[in-house]
Amino acid sequence: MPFNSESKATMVIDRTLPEIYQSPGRMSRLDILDFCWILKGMGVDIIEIDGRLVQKIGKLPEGLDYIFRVRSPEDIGICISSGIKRCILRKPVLMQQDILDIISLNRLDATLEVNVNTLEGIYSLEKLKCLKGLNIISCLRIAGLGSISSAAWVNAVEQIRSLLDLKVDICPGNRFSLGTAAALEAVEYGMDYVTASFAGYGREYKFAPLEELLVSMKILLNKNLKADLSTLPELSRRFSKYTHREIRGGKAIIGKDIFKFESGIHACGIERDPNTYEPYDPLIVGQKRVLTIGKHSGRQSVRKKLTELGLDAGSCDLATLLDIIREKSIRSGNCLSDEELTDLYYTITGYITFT
Amino acid sequence: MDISIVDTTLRDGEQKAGIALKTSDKIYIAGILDRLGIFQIEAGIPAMGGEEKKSVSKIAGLGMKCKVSSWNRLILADITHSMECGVDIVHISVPSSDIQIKSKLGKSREWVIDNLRRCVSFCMDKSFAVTIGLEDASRADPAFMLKIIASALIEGVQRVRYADTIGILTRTRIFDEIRSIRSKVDVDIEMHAHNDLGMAVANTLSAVKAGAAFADCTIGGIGERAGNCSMMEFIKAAKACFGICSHYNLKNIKDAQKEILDIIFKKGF
Repeated sequence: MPFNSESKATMVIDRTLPEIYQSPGRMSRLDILDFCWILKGMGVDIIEIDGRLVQKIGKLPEGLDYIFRVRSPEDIGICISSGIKRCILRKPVLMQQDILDIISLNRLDATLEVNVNTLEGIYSLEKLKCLKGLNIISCLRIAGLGSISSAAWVNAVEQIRSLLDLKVDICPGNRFSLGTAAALEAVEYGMDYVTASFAGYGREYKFAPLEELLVSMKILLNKNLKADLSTLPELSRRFSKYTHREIRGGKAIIGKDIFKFESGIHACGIERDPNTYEPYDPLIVGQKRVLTIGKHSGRQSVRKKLTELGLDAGSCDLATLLDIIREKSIRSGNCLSDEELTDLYYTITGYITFT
Repeated sequence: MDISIVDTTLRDGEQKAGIALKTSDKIYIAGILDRLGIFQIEAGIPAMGGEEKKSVSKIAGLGMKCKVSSWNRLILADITHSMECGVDIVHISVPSSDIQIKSKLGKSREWVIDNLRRCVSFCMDKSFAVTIGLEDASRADPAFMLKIIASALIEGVQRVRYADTIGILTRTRIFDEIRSIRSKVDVDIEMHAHNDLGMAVANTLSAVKAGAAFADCTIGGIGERAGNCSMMEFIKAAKACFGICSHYNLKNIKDAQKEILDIIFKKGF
């Protein structure tokens, strides 16, 4: 591979806000700013915003870096008056001479966004060399890469980067669930920027999920080590509130159920050493492990759970209790609540509860 | 290049905390999966006994087109339970990383090899087909992993499951590892990916590109923690990237996924 992973740090751009902020009013000024600060704390370097967001925020706070999406001549005015030095635009916008002139006059750091989904598509970007206005572009955002099944895109992008003499921002789509893999490769092989969105949120084919990228950078590449990812549950809560979308319980990194464990084999392993069945400490992402009791539990898990609940496991026939737990769990199609387990315990031991 | 799908919804999928299926549910789901045209169903863990063993036994007796396998620890008693269920394939999970062997089991690498030989030979003597799973392969010493594979091959095993048990692979790494294994030993590889970092589909696809002939999936990607490789997402990606899996109809899979997930989560977990 042509890039040296030690050569430089890839900057992370988040594009969640313009995707969420489709209808004004869904987020207040404070909501938007809080969202931005949480992203920054998690290791996001640059936050993508647009004209509607800037108008909502008003004066932008210092300490955050932005890239402004330009869709119209009016937008470019907002970008300049708000003091943002980076902008991103697509080809049709670049064709507008007045926008070109303003970008050039104000020396904005301009990124051109293109969408390609195949290796051939990446190589075809050489045609951009003849594009009017390319001289004012400093970075090329390559979005998509949707159906490329390996890191072969890295060599293709490097060729284009050299040919066009531009920085590169990789923004993988997630139509075929390959977004995180490509985003991580962008960091591993030293691309200038990588762009993602929280929970992969996006209108069309979505993007690489930011949270998966940030955690993967931390635990697989030893990068982004100072970032505080324990705020992910708070960001998830806000995201659900603004988008009215529930995050699946099993969603990688941010699902509320991912650190629940039940099966006897896993419970036994985690009891001895959590590293046996956990890829990282749940605390890193603001979660904690929870032992549940159900059809797949073993005696050791039940003993541990009883102890957790302050019950004396030694005075209970665990084999009988486990049989009843399994039967009850299969009948309900679910695990047992702490109250159900406690009741079962008292039924078996013959103790009477006083409530 | 083509791929055989091994569906483990009824084993690894059901192991997700909070899922508990009745025998009738498992039988019904197995029927849906069989009609999709998959190669193999991993039906459960007979060693759990009771309802679980009964369900594996009934699924094995359905006379479906697909193969039916069961999951076993490296323990003869587990395997006996599976044999009593009449499964087509006995799958034996072999701890391959030191953290699994030492921290979890308190055993040694020698213990693993000895028991592997004993268990596989026990199956072969009784004319059962066997596959082995390299549990936690992504954290294993490659040399020891090869030793496990070589020992299994000597005993007559033809297919080995590479399990990324805690979902920490990248697609470049799994490609290199599968290539490396296949360059050293003549064995069929089955890829078993977990989705902890959101890369289960990408990693399974990469393993296929490197020569894995079998891909483990679950319906809706359900499974321990963040789950497994989603069957529908994998087939969608495999069609788009490699033009394979042409005999799978995405609409049928989507409908099957909805029906199965409705059964599994009907209690609103």
